[in-house]
Amino acid sequence: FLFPIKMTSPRMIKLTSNDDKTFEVERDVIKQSVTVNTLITDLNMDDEDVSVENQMAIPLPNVDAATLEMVITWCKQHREDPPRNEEEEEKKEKRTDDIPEWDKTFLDVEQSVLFALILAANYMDIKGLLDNCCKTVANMIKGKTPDEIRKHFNIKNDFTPEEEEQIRKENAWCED
Amino acid sequence: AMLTLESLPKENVYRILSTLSTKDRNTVRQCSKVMKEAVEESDLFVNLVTLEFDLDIKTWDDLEQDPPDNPPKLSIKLESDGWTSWHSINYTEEDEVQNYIDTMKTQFRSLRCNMLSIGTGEYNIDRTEVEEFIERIDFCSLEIRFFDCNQQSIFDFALSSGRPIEYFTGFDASIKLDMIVDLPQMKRLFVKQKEKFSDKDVLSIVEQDHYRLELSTDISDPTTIHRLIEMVRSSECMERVQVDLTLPYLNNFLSSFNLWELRDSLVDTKGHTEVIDLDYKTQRYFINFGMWYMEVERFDFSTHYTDIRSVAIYDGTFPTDRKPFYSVTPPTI
Repeated sequence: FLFPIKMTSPRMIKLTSNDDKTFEVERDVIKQSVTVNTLITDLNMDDEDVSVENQMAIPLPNVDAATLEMVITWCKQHREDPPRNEEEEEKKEKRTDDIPEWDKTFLDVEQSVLFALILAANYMDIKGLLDNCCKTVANMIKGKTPDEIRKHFNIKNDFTPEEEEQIRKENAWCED
Repeated sequence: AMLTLESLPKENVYRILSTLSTKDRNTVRQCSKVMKEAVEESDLFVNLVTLEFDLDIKTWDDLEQDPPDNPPKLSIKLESDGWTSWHSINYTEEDEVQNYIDTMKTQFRSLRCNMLSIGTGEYNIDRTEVEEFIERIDFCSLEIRFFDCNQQSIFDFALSSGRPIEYFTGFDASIKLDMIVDLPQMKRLFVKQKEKFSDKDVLSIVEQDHYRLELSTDISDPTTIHRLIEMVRSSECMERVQVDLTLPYLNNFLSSFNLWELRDSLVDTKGHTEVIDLDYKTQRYFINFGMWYMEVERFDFSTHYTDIRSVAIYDGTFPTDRKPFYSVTPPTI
């Protein structure tokens, strides 16, 4: 006898970027976004009787398509990560040398893209991505002089020479 | 518009800053006005951290009130913007000193312990004790400053050590002024006001760091203190004034209200620096016993202590908005 086997395809969720592009993403992947996760629960979208075709897309008005695509890629890569304990994370010593190799390569992008990812991760509340993005930026800052930081981030020095001297004096205590 | 570091929301910038060392954060602060503001508003900004070690050799023995085996203590004062904490440990336990410093370094990551103050006060101590102490803690590589070295032998030693000497007057009190505005303005003010005081009263104004001045005066004349406080108050640039009192003065003060029993039951008086804190923001006055604070209403230096209305005891840190767990109204004098 052959019994029919019920194939359970992964539950899919639709997300729409602010430039009206819709992405279908596995429920298990996007659960890393606290914002999306909460919306799914609140809107009762986990109802298996509703097919993905009939499902409402979740609008993400603060995220453009290119960034959302990157966010989804990151979430796919980290879908097996153990859930974060934010309390424990807060207690941990803040380090920037613990970014996983995959993330380092993934986040080796133009600054504007990295900052867009920070905004998206913040909005979608994906702490792991946000942390690694911020650590990547921090690594760009570390050990640099004010001039080097300005040059790297295209920051205009708007201090008067007197103000600059004053701040330099104030900082003298922590210089080597 | 193109996203930049400066255009990121502050909460994201704070997150980036939180992973940086104090030094790197201060470097970011130098980049532009926007970045300066972000760093200063981040709650992570440490403008200056000074670890001040006060070798407490004022044994009770000297005052004939304490058992002779009372070990000397090391009082450690940790200062940063907006807060101060005092800790006392027995400095004969070398490991404990090292552990404490290590803990502080961990907490502040890039903490730079940059000063050791040794105050000898007015009590008789053995010069070798000071030398031994310095030898013990020299692993900290701290700058050591001597202050209040009124004893000739210690003063000579301080001079011969080549260490900075802050003042060595042996005056009974010092007023520490925690500034919240710019130093040059305050300095000018003091220089101007100094004319109002005799040389005996105001001996020195020490620029201890970017935001703090220290000056000494003789507390035996309360009107001088009163004038100083009024001067500071009128300058509108002070947040708080600390008046360090010597024990005899405080003893007089407390005995006037029969508070000895209370004090003995609550406070380990050995080796604590007694301080009256005047919080101008809230107009509340406190006597600081290290871990304990007595709140004093309307402490008036010009009329000594006759205007005190009540005393309250607090535990823990500086009681800004907590209620006392004990209060007492002293008898009217």
